[in-house]
Amino acid sequence: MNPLEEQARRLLTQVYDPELGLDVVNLGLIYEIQVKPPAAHVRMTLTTPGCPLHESMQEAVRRALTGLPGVENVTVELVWTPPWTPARLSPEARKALGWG
Amino acid sequence: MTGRAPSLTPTPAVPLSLPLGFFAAGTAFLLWGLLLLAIHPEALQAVRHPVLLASSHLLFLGFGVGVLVGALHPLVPVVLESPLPRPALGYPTLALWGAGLPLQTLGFLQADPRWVALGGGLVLLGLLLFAGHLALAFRRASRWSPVATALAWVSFYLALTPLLGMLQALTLRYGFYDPERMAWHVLAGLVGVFLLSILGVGHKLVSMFTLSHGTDEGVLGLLLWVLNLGLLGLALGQPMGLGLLALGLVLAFYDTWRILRQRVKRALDVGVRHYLAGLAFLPLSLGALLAGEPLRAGLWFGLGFLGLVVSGMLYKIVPFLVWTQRYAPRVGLEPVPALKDMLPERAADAAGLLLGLGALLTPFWPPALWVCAAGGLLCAYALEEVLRS
Repeated sequence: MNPLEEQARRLLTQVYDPELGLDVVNLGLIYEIQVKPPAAHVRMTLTTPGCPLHESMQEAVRRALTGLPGVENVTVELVWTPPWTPARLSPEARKALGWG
Repeated sequence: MTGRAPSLTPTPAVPLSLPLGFFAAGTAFLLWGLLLLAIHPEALQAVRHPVLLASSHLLFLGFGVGVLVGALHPLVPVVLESPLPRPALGYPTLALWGAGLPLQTLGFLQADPRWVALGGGLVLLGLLLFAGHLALAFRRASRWSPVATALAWVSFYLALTPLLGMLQALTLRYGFYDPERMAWHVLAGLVGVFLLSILGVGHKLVSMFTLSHGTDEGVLGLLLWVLNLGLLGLALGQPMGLGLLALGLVLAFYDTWRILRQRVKRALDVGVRHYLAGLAFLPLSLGALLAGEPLRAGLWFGLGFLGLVVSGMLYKIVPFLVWTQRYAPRVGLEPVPALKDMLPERAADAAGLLLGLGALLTPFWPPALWVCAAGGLLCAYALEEVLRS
């Protein structure tokens, strides 16, 4: 992972799911980040298909990454395969959800 | 292989004012109904007392149906994974229902079947329009599930229930009145509209709110069959109908237990707690029905089950809708509140406690209706605070 991609991941920890109060990185929703200025691409999922937050979250991820230096074009691809499972939660997220 | 999410066709989103309009009017109807009954507790002496008829329509058709129709506008696209064809069609439904119910209520209070029929007719038109809109949405569904089947049944009963009720009002005025139709009207409303919608939509919502994963929808599908057959049995005067309703409740509790067992979010928030407390009134209500106490059964169903479940779901849906409108555009740029920060949880908890306690006591001690009314007022306060957050 190049430094810009690490920076992108840090920026995405500011994008919170309002229902769970956890960010998209710790929730395990981010599958892939590619940053090659002036473009950035994110492949992500949501906890459930049809999630009413899908537009808000996609747009929030796009907005957060526009803060990367040299990046002008951010694309966010929402996928359902592989499906999200609780195994993707970070240890911090599991603790915040009351397990551990 | 990557399963890319289907892109939504450019269809207008549901405007915030539409569900909130239904919720605001529904909450006002709830308070009207509770206060009316609290001021006239003697209405509980007879099932056809004008005040009881008026307040039960305010509670069920006003609060219950209002919140249901309001919530379905944003929820149907989530269940069907495709947008509503014409969200703006909700406004005429809101206007017809919102204008028709007060007329109908005044008709009951003045024992004038013409006003009941006129008000009920307006409500019926509004609900037929909504059911037609849902039918269009069902045809465009990207995914079909037992939850969608529950909604299809609910849209059928949403049209059938007022139709049967209006028939009662007209035949009372012009002849061919049949008291048995009243039972059909009540059953179609309580079981067809409320039980099916709450258990069907509740399956989806409680799964989402508790982040439950891996619960299949097979039990819900079976539950729909059992409750519909039970309803048919009761409408035909078959005692087996009650047995099927009891089996349906067992399945509902089993389904809810499975969802909770698979949840990832361990702590249950106020909305889910109220939902579960509301479910606890169902066996009480059925027991009262089996004991030949239909009024007691109706009070526990309406004040306990419906009051707690619907207010609990409002504590989840209203913050979400307001957040989406007010804060979603700022996510990723600045800190924004979480949904739980928008609701005064202590007020919501106290509202649930008062509603539940009042509902439990009312059949034995009618002044407890004031406790319910206090709970309704606290609930309205909590929701109003969400709008101001």
